[in-house]
Amino acid sequence: MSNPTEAAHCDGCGKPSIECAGCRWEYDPPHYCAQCGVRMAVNVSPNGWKARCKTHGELTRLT
Amino acid sequence: MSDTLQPVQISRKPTPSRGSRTPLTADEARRAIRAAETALLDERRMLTAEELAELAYVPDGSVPSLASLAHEVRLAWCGPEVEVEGILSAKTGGCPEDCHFCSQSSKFDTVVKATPFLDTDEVLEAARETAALGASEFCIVLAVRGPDERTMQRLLELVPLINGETGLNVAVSAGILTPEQAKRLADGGVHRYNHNLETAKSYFPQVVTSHDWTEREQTCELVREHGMELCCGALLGMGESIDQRLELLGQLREVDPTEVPLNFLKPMAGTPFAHLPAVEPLEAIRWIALFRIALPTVILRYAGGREFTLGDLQAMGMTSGINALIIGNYLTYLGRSPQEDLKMLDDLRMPVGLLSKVI
Repeated sequence: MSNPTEAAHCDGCGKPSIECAGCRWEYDPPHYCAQCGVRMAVNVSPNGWKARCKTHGELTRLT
Repeated sequence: MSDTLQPVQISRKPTPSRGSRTPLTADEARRAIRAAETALLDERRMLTAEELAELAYVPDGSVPSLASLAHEVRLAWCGPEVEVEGILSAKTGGCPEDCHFCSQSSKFDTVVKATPFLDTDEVLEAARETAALGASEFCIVLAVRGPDERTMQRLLELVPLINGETGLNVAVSAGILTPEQAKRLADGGVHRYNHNLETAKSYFPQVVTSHDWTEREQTCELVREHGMELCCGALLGMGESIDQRLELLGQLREVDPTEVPLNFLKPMAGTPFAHLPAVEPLEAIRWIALFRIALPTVILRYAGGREFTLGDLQAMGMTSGINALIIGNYLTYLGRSPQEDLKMLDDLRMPVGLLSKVI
């Protein structure tokens, strides 16, 4: 889950962090860019996930 | 951003148990479970629809006894092994169908953004991840109505590559098939083809309107006809009644699958089913047990929604009739860590192995 003290947007719903303190369920990958709040293209694999923001690039995590 | 994309509030309200019968008393339940035990373990016969229906109405206090019977049935009919599988959404979102539970439908405003078919290297990497987790099966899943020619060619390229490089059996889930496509996939080495009935025929129009239940049944028939193993599952918690779950069990018996993945609804924001309450954990255990008791020979797989529905009771599902699981992540959301699942199997002294249907 995005850290609301650092991220400008919630990565679960895309709202500005001042409106949402972080609502993403622990089993959801991020769907919104924490920097700009735009919806990302997300691919989930058996052992991780990859999310791409058009502006801010790719974020990859092993789970 | 539309309001429909706001996160779903996880509800723990009791699932409405809508049924046509009066729940059994504790004594009646004990007798019904004993009779089922005699039938399944001594006489080694399948239960009748009436016997199954009676078991669906045991009181909550009898669910652990039902689960215990289901575990014995699983051991007696299938053995102790547990089959482990990894799945990959190789083409995500943008699906033209309107399955009301699914965040990958293009008909609904969900968080899922459509992405094209992954590159061969990405699919191979996911298969390697799956093999490293000790799995024996890897399923390539595509959010499509059915495969077009380009998709068929990609699948036919990927299946032998994955099998050759990792040794995994390769399963495919690519929607509705034509007879010619079923033959090509079988000839191309697809070990198992997934096509879920999801729910009872009588309830299906409440869940999907862009195709009908019969089209699903026909693809299931084609899969078996062309020699692939059929993986045909269910999704519980979509508002169906007890009688409709029993109806589905009868229909699953008719399509005769090798594997039945059992999913529980995880309500997805933006879908028509976003508001539905979770299946309660004990209710989930009851239905895992009933699926095993109704389908004693099948590979009964823990699939989507188990973390959401069962929480801490996941090990109990393994002793209620489950003998397979999806390890790692699901199609659009994450699973618990593979290490937790492997530890659970080790703690339960359940060996990981290769399974096929008991004849």
